[in-house]
Amino acid sequence: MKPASRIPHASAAATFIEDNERTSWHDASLWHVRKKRDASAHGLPEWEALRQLASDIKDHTLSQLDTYLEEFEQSATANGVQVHWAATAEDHNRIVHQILAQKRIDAIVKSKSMLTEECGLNPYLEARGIEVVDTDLGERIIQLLEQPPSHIVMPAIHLRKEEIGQLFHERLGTEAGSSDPQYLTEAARQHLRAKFLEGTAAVTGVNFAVAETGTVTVCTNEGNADMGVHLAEVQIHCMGIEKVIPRWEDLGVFTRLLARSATGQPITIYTSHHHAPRPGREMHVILVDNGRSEHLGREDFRNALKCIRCGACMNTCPVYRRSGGHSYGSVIPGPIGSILTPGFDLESSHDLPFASTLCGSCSDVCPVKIDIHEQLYKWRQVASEAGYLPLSKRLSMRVGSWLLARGQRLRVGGALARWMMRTLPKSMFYNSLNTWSNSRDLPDAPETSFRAWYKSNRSNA
Amino acid sequence: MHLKHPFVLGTKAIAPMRKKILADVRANKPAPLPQPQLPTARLVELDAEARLAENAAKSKSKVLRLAVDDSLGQVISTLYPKEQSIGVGEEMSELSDATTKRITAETSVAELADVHLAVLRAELAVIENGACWVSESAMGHRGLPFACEHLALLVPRRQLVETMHEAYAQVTPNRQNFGVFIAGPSKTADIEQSLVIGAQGPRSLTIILTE
Repeated sequence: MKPASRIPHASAAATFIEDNERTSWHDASLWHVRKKRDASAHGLPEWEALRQLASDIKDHTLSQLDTYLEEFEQSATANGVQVHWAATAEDHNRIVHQILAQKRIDAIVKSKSMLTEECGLNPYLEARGIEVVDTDLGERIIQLLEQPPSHIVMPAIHLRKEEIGQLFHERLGTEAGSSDPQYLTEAARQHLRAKFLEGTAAVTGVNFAVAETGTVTVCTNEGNADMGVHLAEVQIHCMGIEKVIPRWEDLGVFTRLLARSATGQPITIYTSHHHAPRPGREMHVILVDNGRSEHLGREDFRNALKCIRCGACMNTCPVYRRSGGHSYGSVIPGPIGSILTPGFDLESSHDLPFASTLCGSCSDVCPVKIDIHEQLYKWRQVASEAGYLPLSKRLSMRVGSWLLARGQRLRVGGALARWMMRTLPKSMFYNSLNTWSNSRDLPDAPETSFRAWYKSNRSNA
Repeated sequence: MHLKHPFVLGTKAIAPMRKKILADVRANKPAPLPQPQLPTARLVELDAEARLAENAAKSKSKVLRLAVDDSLGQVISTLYPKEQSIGVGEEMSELSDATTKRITAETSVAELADVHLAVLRAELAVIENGACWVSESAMGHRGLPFACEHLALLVPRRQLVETMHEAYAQVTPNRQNFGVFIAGPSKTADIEQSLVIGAQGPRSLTIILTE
């Protein structure tokens, strides 16, 4: 999860919003998805009870995660599945490679998985001569462009159809200048069909893993995960250890929440339940820790592990919508990424908790009731205590607290500020030193302080 | 039982990693919290079929009812007049003419990709979202419901449930097996949020309610 060299969010966002038209378009696209989510959620009178239930199931699971992981391993093994444990991203990648090497497989088809993105599986395998084809349409588009996903559910949401049309013209031989989504999707369908028919191993992510039955559940709309898995010799499912849930019937709760929260659909088109390999084939499940068990120990932050990766917090976030997923420079962008990534590596991501207005909309839409905006606030304190605040913020905070500590200081300071605002030239306030004024305007300075006004107008009342 | 793995991975054996992860989780987990009760099952309310059709339409599925004296073969050939190659996942006496092909686990991938219309039996349909449960035994080959160009699912009329809670309560997972909820034709909106039907799997789904 360590981004090699990150541009701070504020700088990357500043670059993104230089293109005014694209910023507005991006904002509107995401807001459209948020509105679909609302319509879908409001259609269920029991929505709030369902969120609470999902949250409670996840809380319970995390409190006995070791037991449920062992139970899952036992159930899956009994079904004929090979279960692997990976402490780190490196371990995970090595295990996948080893499975492929044993079978002399040199090409895989992969469906959407944020975990393999986190572990950097694609470059690891490609460096070892294995061809990796991402099969989700959005993932395939960004793979061909050599970009990371900008959203966890809609990886190519930042791209215009004309850009995709140009890419497909160059890479898949579609007509020049053609950007009709229907036409482009059909071209991708034909291109990917050929890959499925050749594919001998399929790698997928996991939405839920059921301890009771050893089930691996994968949710998609395109059917690409299933096309891959069922035509391949070997199926490999990679999951973070927090994906386990206790009971088969718990799936009823999560499948009702996931797609409604993500895209406003009542359910994903395909909800697949893998229990065992086909006769003569292999099925592997890799349980990955990679910092999760450590995060479980952080009392203020552990419940971020309840996340079911629906992306609703991104679609609603005023900062995400106007800065784009890439501006975060972390595998998982947006509000949830800004509370997960600092847990993995605070040093390189300490600015992320500040990429928020703390409006709380993320927490309001979260289907498992993670207190995202409160954690953003708490991470700011952690970052501050660890000495990561920039000098400008440290100094202004110090001046602020000195000023506010005594009434006399505030009175004198206020009078001085009002005088300065009235008499000094505008360039004293609007210059490159005061980034606050880049896109904001100061109000006119009032004649007197509120204290003086109150004294002469209300103090007799 | 983790020691029974057929191979040891790289230089690091599995057992120590397993042990370490579980020990770390144990050391860091919070105090136990209670397991919540799941909602009690809802009975099917009025107008089940109409509501199913309405909700299924949101995911672009069609629902139709097979009348007692309708023949499935006739309905299928009216619905899909051009489909020359029909695949079934199990014996289906109603569809037994020459164009129908029985798909099995041994069917080759190339043959699978040639199936234009697959007709499969689903165990139940969920009214709130139009999802139908299809288990491996009805598919013949696990890849059939995904690789075919069009899909028709036969659901007994009495097997409608209100929500996913009742659906999961009713479906018993066969642990030697694969099972899937299918809620519509394959779709994507990955290009500028424009909905496209027939992304990678079937281009249409028809739910046929049977007696």
